[in-house]
Amino acid sequence: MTEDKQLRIAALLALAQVQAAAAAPHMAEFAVDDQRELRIAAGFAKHLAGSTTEAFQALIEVAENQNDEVIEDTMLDMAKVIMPLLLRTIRDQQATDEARVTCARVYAQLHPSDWSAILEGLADERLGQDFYEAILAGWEFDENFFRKSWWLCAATAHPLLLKPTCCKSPTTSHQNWVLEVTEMSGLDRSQSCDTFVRLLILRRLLIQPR
Amino acid sequence: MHDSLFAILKRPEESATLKQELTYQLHKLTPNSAAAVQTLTDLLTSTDVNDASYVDLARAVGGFGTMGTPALRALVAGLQSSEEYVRATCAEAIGELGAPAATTAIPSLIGIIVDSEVTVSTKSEVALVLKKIGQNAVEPLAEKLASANPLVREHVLHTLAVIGPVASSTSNQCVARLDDSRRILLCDARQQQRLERSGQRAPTPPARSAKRQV
Repeated sequence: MTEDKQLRIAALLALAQVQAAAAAPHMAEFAVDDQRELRIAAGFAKHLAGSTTEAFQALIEVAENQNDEVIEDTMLDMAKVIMPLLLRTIRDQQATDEARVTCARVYAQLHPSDWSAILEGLADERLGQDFYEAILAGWEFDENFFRKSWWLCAATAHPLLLKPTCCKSPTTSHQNWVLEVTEMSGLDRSQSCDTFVRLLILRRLLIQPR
Repeated sequence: MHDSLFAILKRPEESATLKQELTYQLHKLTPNSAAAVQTLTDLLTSTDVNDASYVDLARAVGGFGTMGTPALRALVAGLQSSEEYVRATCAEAIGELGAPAATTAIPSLIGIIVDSEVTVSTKSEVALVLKKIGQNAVEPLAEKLASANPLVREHVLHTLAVIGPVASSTSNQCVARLDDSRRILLCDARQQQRLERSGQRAPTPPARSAKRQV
């Protein structure tokens, strides 16, 4: 980003915080600018000015793909206050794929206690893989969650885990990934999950590499 | 008992670890003690601002809150340290002194905001201190928006954002910065036209060359 642009963005964000009313017309101007960074800044400025719902909607509209890191980071800066909005969008069948997946990725990174929306998304034929990767995005931040979600999937013999082609790790081979997950999930220890289901899942994963 | 604690802090031959621990805990061991603050102030005054122990002493003063005012001059001196962590800790301690006392430190605190060598993390700490000081910090800070260095202007804007509605008097200056780049470009274009008319070659515009140096 050029310094000129950074400066203009800093000015808008400052204005939104020192005098929100004065910022409103400028937010509107930035919101239709042909430079994407300025449109994102307009969205975030709305949040700073107190209109979080509008800000969230504006950012969703600017999201260009399912791995839009700038949008993700901006939403993460908005923190937990947007969690209900994220949840609603994740579950909204009318929302675009980009919006649902972006929201799932952001949600997963905000240390949520309720993972049901994302786990439901795993079953989605088209977006299951993307929801799975959203879980991985959260994994980095919350190992306990990953253990819990794995157990939930394992305990219910979730179809995603029985479809090895859907399970992938961006960084390791399939087999290594399975071993990694096994360790993370505590599958090698004596736990309450049904052994048969666990073995079945692992066997399916191991014998049908990606 | 307190006197013996202060004596430990002042004795050069005492264990550095013991003195450090005692410094950390002093505000708990001797709450509301003016003598403790005076001891810390004396120690700060006799310590080099670039010495690591300055941080412990400054933090200890901060533990006494508004009672730490006698150490203000030493804390302001710490803002000039070549060690950034000393500057950040002294700024934090100044924030603990509260608005009337901390007002004296405004120019030095703003000096950190506009210093291009200082990290964003320290600037953020200082911005929070300026927010605590409030209204009195706004005008001298906003004056720095006139800086020729765009990076300085940007850091000032970030600081005003942290200060929030108390800085509402600066909204017009923020609005002016929204078109900052356009104004610079317009000036460049006008200068270019003037030079072309007079048949000279255009030099690098000052505002841009300043940016390249950052």
